[in-house]
Amino acid sequence: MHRQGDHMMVDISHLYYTYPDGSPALIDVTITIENNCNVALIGQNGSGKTTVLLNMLGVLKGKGKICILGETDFKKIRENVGMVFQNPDDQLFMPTVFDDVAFGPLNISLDDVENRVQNALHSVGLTGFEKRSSSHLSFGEKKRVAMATVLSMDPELLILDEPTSSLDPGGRRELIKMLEELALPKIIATHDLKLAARICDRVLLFHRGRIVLEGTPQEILSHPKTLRTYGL
Amino acid sequence: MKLANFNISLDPRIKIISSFFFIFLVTTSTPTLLSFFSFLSIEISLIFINKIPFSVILKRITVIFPFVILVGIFLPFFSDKGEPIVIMGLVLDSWGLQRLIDICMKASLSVISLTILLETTAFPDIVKGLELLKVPQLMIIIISFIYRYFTIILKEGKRMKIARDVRSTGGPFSWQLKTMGNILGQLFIRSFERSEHIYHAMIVRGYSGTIQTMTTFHISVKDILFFIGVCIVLCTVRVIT
Repeated sequence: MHRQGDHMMVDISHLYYTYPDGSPALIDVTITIENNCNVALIGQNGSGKTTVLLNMLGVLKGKGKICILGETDFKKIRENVGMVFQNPDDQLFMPTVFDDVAFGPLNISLDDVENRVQNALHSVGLTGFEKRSSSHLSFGEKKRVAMATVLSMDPELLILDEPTSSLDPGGRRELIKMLEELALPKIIATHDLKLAARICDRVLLFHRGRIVLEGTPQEILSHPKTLRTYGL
Repeated sequence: MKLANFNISLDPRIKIISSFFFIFLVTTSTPTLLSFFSFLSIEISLIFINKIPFSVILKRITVIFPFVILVGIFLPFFSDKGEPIVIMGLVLDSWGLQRLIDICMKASLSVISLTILLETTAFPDIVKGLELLKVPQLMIIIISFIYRYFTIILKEGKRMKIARDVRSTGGPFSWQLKTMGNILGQLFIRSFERSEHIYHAMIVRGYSGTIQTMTTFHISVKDILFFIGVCIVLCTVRVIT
């Protein structure tokens, strides 16, 4: 397994990404995140938050330098970084919950897969769901299973795209509590400013593909007028 | 062993092979009433043993029958290999009519056989069974994705239809047809986008072209005995009829 050293957890410099239709999605994005830091990416829809996350894992390939956990090889980055997508239905494609949670560990040839699956399901409070089909779960349960699918890979960094979107207030509270209890550094793209304030140490505000503000949650969220200017 | 879950407790591979062996024998047998009722009696026994409601069987047959009829409906009208017979004022070819009845009999026996398999085996187990039987992985992925996403896409289609209905009060048939075409086009684009998202979710979890799963099936003595029994009964029926 990869070990965190002196390098930054995330080191992205001068990243540009253009959509296939030619419209720019990311313009000169530079992000440096220290180890064990929880960071929120906020911004209105289409501001580039998800595009940055997908570039970090090499799913989308922009121009610029990307170094995550000291690695520049995306195959190695994916082994150490777990990403939870916004819509759990996109992430849960296997016939059973067990198969979905075991998918990652089996692909990167981790040992003791059965135990990993059990532990991951236990940590999201879904012990006993192994044989269930994802189609028959509630949205909140799907979100938790999606989380388990990356926790089973024992990641060093967790990336979450809109983790609280479409959840009812109870489901949202439970998910935030679970995220707080997870002793893993997290990068969270979200519109949920309360979540950002509660969990994150730093906030990056995106607007039209650029980072326009950066600071602690208190610094950023104490300027409601500025936030409104940027569509939040 | 309870009779109610006799088939359920068997290894999925044995059930899949037995079902397909049954279908193979049915489709290649000489179609006679004796063979039809012999195969049907085997299926009815299994339906009783596994306590499968007849309504489920009838529902499945109803779904598949329009397609079966579509395949064979023209035979009695356009074939000229047999004697012409008149039924309710229609001049039909006896050979064509016989073929249509054969197709209907064989299709219903095959559908009942697959229904028994589906009603006694969880779908994920069927997929795993097919995987262990070395069915090409691309086919397995397609089957399991259709199973996983069919209902989701169907629900999406229903939502779009509702969205159309609340903004329209009927209109001419041609217009309705046009909007339905638009809905289907949108559904296709959304499905395409979803498949892209799924692929992204797969590659970030290390997917590199092969889906690996942990399988825990074991063929027991009971499975072997069941399979031998199935072979003996089916071959006997085939030889006699």
